[in-house]
Amino acid sequence: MEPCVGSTGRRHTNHLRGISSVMAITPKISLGSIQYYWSKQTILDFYAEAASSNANTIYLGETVCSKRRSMSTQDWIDLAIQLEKLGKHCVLSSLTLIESESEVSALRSMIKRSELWIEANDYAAVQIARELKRPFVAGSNLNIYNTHTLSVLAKQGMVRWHAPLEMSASSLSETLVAMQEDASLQRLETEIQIYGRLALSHAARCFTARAANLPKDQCETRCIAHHDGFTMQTQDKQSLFQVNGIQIQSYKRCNLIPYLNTITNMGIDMVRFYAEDNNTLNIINQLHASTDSPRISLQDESLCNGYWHGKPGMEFNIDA
Amino acid sequence: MELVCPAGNFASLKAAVDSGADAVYIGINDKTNARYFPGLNFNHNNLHRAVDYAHNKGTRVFLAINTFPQQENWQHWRNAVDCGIDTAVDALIIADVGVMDYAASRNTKTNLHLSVQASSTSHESLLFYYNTFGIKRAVLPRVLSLKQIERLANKTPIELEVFGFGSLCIMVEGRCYLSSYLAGDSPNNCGVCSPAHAVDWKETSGTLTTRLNNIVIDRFLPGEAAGYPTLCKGRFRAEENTYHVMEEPTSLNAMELIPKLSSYGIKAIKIEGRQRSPAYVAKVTTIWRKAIDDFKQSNNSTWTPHEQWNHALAALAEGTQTTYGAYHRSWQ
Repeated sequence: MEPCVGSTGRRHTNHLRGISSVMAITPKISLGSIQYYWSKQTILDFYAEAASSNANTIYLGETVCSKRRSMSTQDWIDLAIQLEKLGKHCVLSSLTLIESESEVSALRSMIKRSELWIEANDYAAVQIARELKRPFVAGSNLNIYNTHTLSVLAKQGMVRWHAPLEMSASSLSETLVAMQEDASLQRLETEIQIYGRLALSHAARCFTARAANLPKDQCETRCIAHHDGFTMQTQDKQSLFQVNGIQIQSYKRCNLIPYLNTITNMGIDMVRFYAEDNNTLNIINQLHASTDSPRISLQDESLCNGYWHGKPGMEFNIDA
Repeated sequence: MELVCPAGNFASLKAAVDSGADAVYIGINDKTNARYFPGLNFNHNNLHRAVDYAHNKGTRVFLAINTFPQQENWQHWRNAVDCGIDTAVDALIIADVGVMDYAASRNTKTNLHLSVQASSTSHESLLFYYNTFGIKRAVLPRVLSLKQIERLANKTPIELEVFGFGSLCIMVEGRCYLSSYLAGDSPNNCGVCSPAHAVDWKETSGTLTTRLNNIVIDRFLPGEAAGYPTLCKGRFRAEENTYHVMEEPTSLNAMELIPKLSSYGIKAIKIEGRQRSPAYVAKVTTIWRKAIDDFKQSNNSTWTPHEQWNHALAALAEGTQTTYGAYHRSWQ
């Protein structure tokens, strides 16, 4: 893979070129934080392999449930330091739904303990990062849909933003054009999820514990038994969602890899993959600069790209 | 504690005001609010009339501008803020950071309230909005337990408003993409969840199947009460069982919790339901007005609501069932 454009090298002028133009740049590849509850060994094995993948940036940490403690905050930081030595850029990801005082304290402690960038998945993380003058990446759950919101957050230390999962290519394009016209936003990096299941919602209730008839407070962290959650089907046996503790994911994997040329030409700086297992790392490694055709089937019924087209997220359009 | 009631149109607004609401919340009839349903909400003309009617009777009016604008339609949200300020509403209920920034820049006397759609659940998150925009009040998402609300109320300088009755969103509000995943029309951007145009009801051999954009949400046998196919309240298969994997069709009713919420210093109780009829609004407002007044008069921390109030509210609830939702840890 060719070296990618750095954080100071935005080339939004490419935006208006035709999608058939030869790509001068390729977005950097990032690996989103693990969404499931895995044992410490499984996590370390996964990242040992990720270390030699084409991923440029790796998001690390527990974003779904604070009861998942196979890795301590210090374990995540130690892992990040190791990965950085191997040339990866690491970002510590914060919890998405913060309910208790102890979760707020843990968040503050995580942000204080290292010099790593923070992925703020909630405005509590934005507030603490701002207070401690630490750069942060705005996660997709911050619901940034326009440059007016970007401007407020850029003043507070945001260095990159991840677009909402449901943002269409057309709406994202409008935002990217407006970013070019605003001097204060021209250095800001833009990231989108390009592959993996979509995290569609979070709740106070744990659906994994509910399925096991256990109250959340005595959940026995049953989610560790499900490597990538379990499937929720309709009554006519259509696989619809994936249950992952307090999180509901899409059953289908989002796949925007066929649009990589367009994504590059729009001026998007980083494309994120969410992994269910090591196979995702193989997909990352199959990507080549200037290709819009990865070796994964376009006919796969378990893929979706509807949001990209401004349609229901579960839909899959073959027009790449 | 104030009673904040929903008004989807002028008749509901009158019903809420005349039944004793301390404040009503309303929206403009476009995508700028989270109840953008056909035939609901206010245009610029009847907004004036609504505000005049409420203010003449001493009721305050909050304007909900609680969806997220996209770059291409930002102007609508900006217009909504301007319209609210020009009409002299008492508060703007806002979710989007950019819209909040614009509203704050108007430097108006109109209070800024943080919408439940902003998903703000901790004192640090609330502090972000307080420090940046000087918000006066925040509406809490329906994901916190009573203990968590108590701790939050002790720590934050911001007035807190919590939901007391009505449909129960079980996912953290503002961050639920389930409906747009199935049916498009993002609740965050378009103000609708499980949109009517995507709903289908079909009866075959006595069994009623409800679908959302052709996806089966539930099946009802003869005699079973069939509810609207709200995605999170359907019956699905998981681990070999078919059940309400996420939640049953039920409504929140927190009337019993009035003494506790009051002791925490909660400033206001919100009733959900701008999509409901004026008759519904009148009934719910009347009962809650009586309950809050009765509690205040009793000045007793062991106060409990009259049974007939709970029965009357249960009869108005989705699936005629009510729950404390996340307020009670056991629900979670």
